[in-house]
Order: sequence, then structure tokens, then C-alpha cells
Amino acid sequence: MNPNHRNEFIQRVRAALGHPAHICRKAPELFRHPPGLHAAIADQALNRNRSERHILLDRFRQEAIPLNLNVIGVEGIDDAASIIVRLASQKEPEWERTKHVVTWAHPLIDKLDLSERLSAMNIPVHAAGMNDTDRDPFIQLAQHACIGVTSADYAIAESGTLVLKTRPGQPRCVSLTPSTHIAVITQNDLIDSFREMVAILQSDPAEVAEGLTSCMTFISGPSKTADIEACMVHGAHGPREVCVLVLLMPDQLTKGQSSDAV
Amino acid sequence: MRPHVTLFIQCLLDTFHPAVCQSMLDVFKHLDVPVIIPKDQTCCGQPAFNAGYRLEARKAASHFLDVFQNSDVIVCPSGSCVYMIRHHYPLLFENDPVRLNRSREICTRIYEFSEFLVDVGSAYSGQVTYHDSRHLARGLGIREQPRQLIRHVSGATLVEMSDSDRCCGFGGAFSIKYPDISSALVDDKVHAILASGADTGVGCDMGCLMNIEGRLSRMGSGIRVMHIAELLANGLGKGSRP
Amino acid sequence: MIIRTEQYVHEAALGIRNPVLQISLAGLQERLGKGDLAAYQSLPEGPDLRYVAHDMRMSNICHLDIFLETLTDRIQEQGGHVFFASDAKAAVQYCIDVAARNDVRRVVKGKSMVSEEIGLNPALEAEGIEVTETDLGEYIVQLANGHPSHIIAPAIHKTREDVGRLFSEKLGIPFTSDPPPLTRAARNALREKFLNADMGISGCNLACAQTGHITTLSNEGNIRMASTLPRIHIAIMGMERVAATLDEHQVLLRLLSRGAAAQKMAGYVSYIGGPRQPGHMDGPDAFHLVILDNGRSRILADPEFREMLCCIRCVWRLNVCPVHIDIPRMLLALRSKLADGDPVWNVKRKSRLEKASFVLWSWLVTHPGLYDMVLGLSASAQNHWLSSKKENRMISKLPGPLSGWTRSRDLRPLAKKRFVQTYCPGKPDESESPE
Repeated sequence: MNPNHRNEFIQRVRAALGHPAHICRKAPELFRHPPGLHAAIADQALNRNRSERHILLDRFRQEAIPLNLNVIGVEGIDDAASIIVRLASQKEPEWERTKHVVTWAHPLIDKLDLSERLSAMNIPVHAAGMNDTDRDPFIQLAQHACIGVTSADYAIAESGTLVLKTRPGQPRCVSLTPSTHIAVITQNDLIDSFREMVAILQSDPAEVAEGLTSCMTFISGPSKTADIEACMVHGAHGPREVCVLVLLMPDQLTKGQSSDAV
Repeated sequence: MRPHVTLFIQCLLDTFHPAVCQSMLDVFKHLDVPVIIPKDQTCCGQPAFNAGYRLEARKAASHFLDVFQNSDVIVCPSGSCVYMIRHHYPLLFENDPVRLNRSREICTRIYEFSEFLVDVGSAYSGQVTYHDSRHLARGLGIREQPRQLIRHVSGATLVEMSDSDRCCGFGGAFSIKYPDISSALVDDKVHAILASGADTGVGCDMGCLMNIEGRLSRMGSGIRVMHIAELLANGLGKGSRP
Repeated sequence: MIIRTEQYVHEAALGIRNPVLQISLAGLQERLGKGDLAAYQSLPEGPDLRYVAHDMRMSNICHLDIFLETLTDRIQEQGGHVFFASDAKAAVQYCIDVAARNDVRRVVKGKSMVSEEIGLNPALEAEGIEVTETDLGEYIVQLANGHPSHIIAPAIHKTREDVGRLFSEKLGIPFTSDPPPLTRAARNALREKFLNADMGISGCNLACAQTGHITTLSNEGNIRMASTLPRIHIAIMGMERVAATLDEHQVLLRLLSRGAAAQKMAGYVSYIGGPRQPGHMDGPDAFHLVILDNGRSRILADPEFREMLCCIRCVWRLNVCPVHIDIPRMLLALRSKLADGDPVWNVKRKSRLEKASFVLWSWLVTHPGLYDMVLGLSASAQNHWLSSKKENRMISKLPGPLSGWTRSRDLRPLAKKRFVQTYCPGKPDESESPE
């Protein structure tokens, strides 16, 4: 391995800042936060009552409109699954003659039982394996998929953003290469703001232990470009459509809420 | 000596546009504000500063400080010259403590022309309430102008009294001929002033103000009564600017 | 790509005469410039967050050594490689070496201004490597063998007809000037490039030292493609692009999104902390971060210009700058270095004649009598230039350097006497008229 020239580089920076070049500076206080701040914000974000969560969902829907992001409230897993089946039957394949679907391995997605439901239409469903180490076969499947189904760690109402970490069974390409990306989340995944997100990431013990992972992605709507005469076109490289199915909590169901059309 | 302003004429106006300078003089004449124009003034130094020639700019700036050293309030019909003096003089003289002080001090006294006309630069500390006198408010329709002026006084907060345009009971000879009615009216006014929480009452008609002041004095109230001109003249040049 | 002053004047004249570019830029300014200001107003913390962000960036810069070391340690712990490049040559050579070691034939690139800065594309191409720009605008420009004309709108100088002709020629599609099918054609052509690329190269919008991640922003998704599908990902970052903590990072990220395109958050943001981990089915096998100095440490060492490193490259400036950088202050400082020279920056005095003129000027303005005299003489001499035809008696032709003014403008003649001299305190109304 070649030397990475770190020392001479950092020494030059220290000298430029007027510090002795050879003395390593440490300043742990620069990384410290007011004690309890993150926990307090996270606590508020994770323990919202029913009406607060409704307000968040409304805000998320509002922010989604200009992004061309489709947000649908669903009553339960069956509802979500039938919407996905309907979308799979309607969508035209973009890259190949036949359609196929790729999905994450994720407790919520597994419950959708898409393999079974779509087999009637001869649409194969490929779920990412939990223990695979060979990267190419799954990328091959995902690259020409009609639909990719994922969940998300958080949905941020402030900007209509989905937050996805990367884990075994939850590869990045499922939300990237298919023509349509569907994310199934629960209403509890909704938070208000990026400020809340970073507070949770830094105070929730499981999040702290896991870290941001090798790739944490924010997705706000479908892929888009305005590079030709500033004309907005959706579907530049990533998905041309993104749909978020929000599982409403059973106790939060009220009439009319789940009746949104696709 | 009457209060006056000293004009710093931007070099471009001075050399190309004397008619504009004359217009400014006309405005001051109309306002009856005497002006002084020092003959030794030349340039604030901005052309050299903007082109990067700081040494030369510093010479011009020193000359400016010398010429305007003893001026009270300086008005200049050019935003960029005033900006130069307020923002760049301290930079130019950062290694010259004496001139740095002088330029900081002159910054508090120099106004751009329109800023001077509107902001005045007065300073007053207190809650001010305004009395709408009848001839002014209902007769001339002047209600907003004095309030705008009060809002421009640094440190003063305008608090409205209730029924600010209700008569104070002065009425010239009326106050002498019908003292009981007049006193009842001024009592209402004074109570409105007290209820507003203000520590200063301001108006534009001295008759009203004498009436209100007299009643307050008799009641032993510490509330100050001022003509708006007094308020505006207060701390001239000390007001902070936005 | 280095543009010198003379070239700039020439290029600017061409640009000003290009009606397509002018209309597009005006549109961009109208939409995004105003959109940005509205977006700052709608910040939950209010528009003054930009001042807070300025302080954050100054703190980032003033502790750059600490943050770069922390970032490096974290990324190395997560299995990434970090290379410190003192200049463009070292950075380019590192990329070439990584490519050579891994038998890289095809590279896909996400938009990266720093790779333009170091001249990476031609260097890789000289090694026989195919380099494809994947941002649609950059791709158009690359197909046309041109240079990007704007950071966020690289192909803003091209009309839809230009792009239609270009794609029909280079991609073999039937001519169309409709943006959706043109975008689709590029999507198809570039999808093949992504899938067959051995290496992806991106920039880095802003790194987070605390967690050891770089972040990349895009709306098209091309940078996600370039950093997810190929076996190797190299990210190149200017050394100043690091935030201390995740808290600061999210503030700056929101401001960057608002600043760059009036968005609350860019369409895609990826926090990348290293190569794929055990059990991960995609993402690169190897992740390399190249941290570039290339003159930045000299800027850092100069207290007057250090603030420039706060820039997070949203492309806007001054009144819409998301981190409120005082650009006028630095421009004035730059001019003073050009005017009088600066040994630290090895800058020589720009013009002796100009210097002499200002020395003379400074002498005149401190001697009012002479100042009057010179202006009086000038006022007499100007008759020579006064147009007799014009009823308004303006000067429409001046000699020497002054001709820059009269090329497209008239100039009012000097008054015969300065106003200050004609003013008579007793009788202000009788002061002389301009003529």
C-alpha cells in the first residue's frame, strides 16, 4: 500500500492555522452536545400521540405533492399488498419484455407475501438474501426490475424524505434501479424534521450501536432532471415513480382515511 | 448658533451635477435647516479603495477626517460614500488608533441624505404615547407622520393610549371660560395616558401639551410631556441605525 | 481549466451575445434566486440560520486538522481508504493507480467540480480509460466536447433543438426536441454505462467528521448509481468540505439544498462511510476518499481569505449565499493585492501607470487648491470633446482608457466650477447653474 501522505498534509493544515505543525491537536469538546438535548428531542419525536401523528402525516402528504411523490395511507398489510399487486399489474416493463419485482428482506415486507400474491400473474418476486456475499447476481436482478419494494427507517415530514440505511437483506439498488420504487412504512416511522432524525440517531441505543451504516440514503421523490432548457422531467436515472404506503396504526383508523385512490 | 448640518458633497455630484447639489440645498432651505459646506472637502477616498490602492485611499480619508473633524451632523447625498466612511474607514485605519477613533466617532454623525430626512437619528429612552390633537389629526389628516417619526427614534417605544384623538380639553380660551368641563376632559386624557403605561407624552400642538402637562403636574405625576421636536432633537446623532 | 483575464473578457463578451444562454440564465436567476430567498424565509429556524451556519463553517475551517483526522480515522475503521493529495497531480495519479491496480477500463462519473479542477477526465482518458459523465447536463456537454457553463446547469447554453441534434447524431435516435424522450434516451444509454463500469467517481458535497461519512447530493440519482453499482468508488473532496458533527451537518445540508435549488432537501442524499459490509449485496468492494489540498492550505493560512473556505458550492453568492460569506470584503482585499503586489502570494503590481495615477490623485485630493485648479483646467479642456451637434451637450467620445465609458454611453461634461466652490452661504439661490 502506498503511503497516504496524511502526516505531511495535516501538518501543513496545522501550520496554516498557526498551530505547531507536529503537535497533534485534540478537541473532544467540539464533538460534545448539550447533555440530554438529543434524548429530549428524540423522546418527543418517538412518543407522539395520535393527533400529532395525523398532523405529521398530513404534512408529509403536503410536502410530497410538489415532489411528485405518491403517499397512500393503508389500513393494514393486506391493503398495502393489494395496492402493490395492482401497481405491478398496471406498470409496463421498461427494460425487458417481462416484469419482475425485487424486494428487501424486512419483517414488514416479508408480511406482504408478494411472492405468493404475484405468482398468479406470473410476475416473479426476488427478495434479497440475508446471507449472500456475492454482489453481482442480485444487482443483475435489480437492474431491470419493474418494481422495487423497500421499507424505510424514517419518513421526514419536513421535506417528504425517506431515510434508508443499508443492511444485509436491504441493499441500496432496490430503491434505485427499478422503474418504480414502493416504500412500505408504518405511521410510527414518521418524524417531523432532520433535527429530530439526527437526535434519534445519536440517542437511541440501537441506532447508536448500529451507526449510519456504510450508506444511509435520503430519498425525496422520484429521480428528476431539469438539464434540458430547465424543463422538469421525472425518471433521469433512478425510479420514475416513487410511492409511499403508510400503514395507519389500528387505533388511529378513522373513516375515509384509507380511501385514497392510487 | 442654530443647529445646522454640514454637507459632504460626493465628488461626482460636486464636479458633474451641481444642479443636484442645489436641489438638496433647496430641500434643506424648505425645512429651514441651515447648512455649512466646507470648501476644503474633496473625496472620501472610495475610488482608490475600490481599486485596491489602500495607501492612497488612506490619504484621502485622513483629509476627510481633518475637514469634518468639528462638524456636528454630516449629511452626504451618496450611499456609497457613507458606506465607505462607516464600513471601510475603520478597516483603513486599523493600525492607526488616533484616526481609528476619529473615524469611529465620525461614523455616529454622518447620514445619507434620505436617511437623515427620515431617520433623524434621535435617541430617547422610554415608552412614548402620542396625543392626536384635533386640528392636526382631523383637520389636516396628519396621524401617521408623527408616529413614523417616533418609531424612528432609537430607544423609544410607541405605545398607543386609548382614544388618542379625543380632545384634551384645551380649546384656547375655552379652558379658562369653562374650567370645569375643560378639567373633566383633560382628566380623561391624563387617565388614558396613565393607562397606556407610557412615561412620556408627545404631541405636535403646544396648547394641548401645556394643558396635559399642567394637569399631570398638579396630580404630582412624573410623566414627561414633550413636543415632538424636543423628542427628535434629543440625542441627535446618537441614534442607532438599522 | 484555467481562465485568464483576457480570455475571461473575451468569453464573457461571447456569453453576453449568446441569446440562448442569456434567456436561460435570466430564467435560472428568476426561479432559483428568488426561490432560494423564499426557501430561507421558510426555514423552521428562520433565515438567520445562515449566520449560524457561517459560524459553524468558520469553526469547521479553524479546526480543520482535527476534523480531517477524525473523518479519516472513522472511514478507515469502516474499511475505506483515505488518500491525502497535496496537489492536483497527486490526486490524479492516485486515481490512475487505483484504476491500474484494478484493471479498470470504464469509469462513470457523478458531477464533481473538484475533478474538473484537477483535470481528471483527460488524464484517465490518456490511460485508455473510458470516462462517462452521467449527470444529464454534463453528459450533453461531454457528447458535444464542450465545457460546462454552470455548476448546477452545465448545459444551460444548449437549446432543446441543440440537444435533439446532438443525441440523434451521437446516440442514433430519431430527432426530437422534446425533453422527456431526450431524457429517456440518455437514461437508456447511461444505464448501460453504469452497469458496465468498473469504477465510479464522485465528488463530496460535505463530509461529517463525527460519523466518518461523506455525503453526495443529486436529483437525477446518477451519483447513487456511480457509488452503488461499480466495484470501486472513489470520492474526491476539497479538504475544506467537512462538518464537525451530525447536528451541524444536517443544518448545512438543509441550507445547501435550499441554496442550490430552493429544495427543502436534495432529491437524493447518500451518506457514504466505506465499502459494502459483510452480508451487503451491493455497494462497492472498495471505497477510496481523496482529500485534496491543491492550494487550499495557502488560503487557509491567510486570515483575510480563510472565510472563502466556508463555501459549500451551492453556486449562488452574496445575498443568496446559504452561509453568508462576505464576498465583497474579499474582492476588495484581492484588488489591494493586485494594486500594490503581495510577496506572500507572489503577486506583482498590476500596473505602474495606474499606481502613479492614484498617487497623483491622492496628492490632489489632499490639496484642495490644486484639486480645484486641475478640475477647472479639465473643464476648459473638455470643450474639445464636447459634441456640438448634440442638443444636450454630452460627451460621446473620449480618448485612452476613458473610451471604455463612451463606447456605449455619453458622459455629462464637468461643471465649470465645483459646486463646493460656487456655493455662497449667504445667497444659496444664486449659485451657478451647471452650464
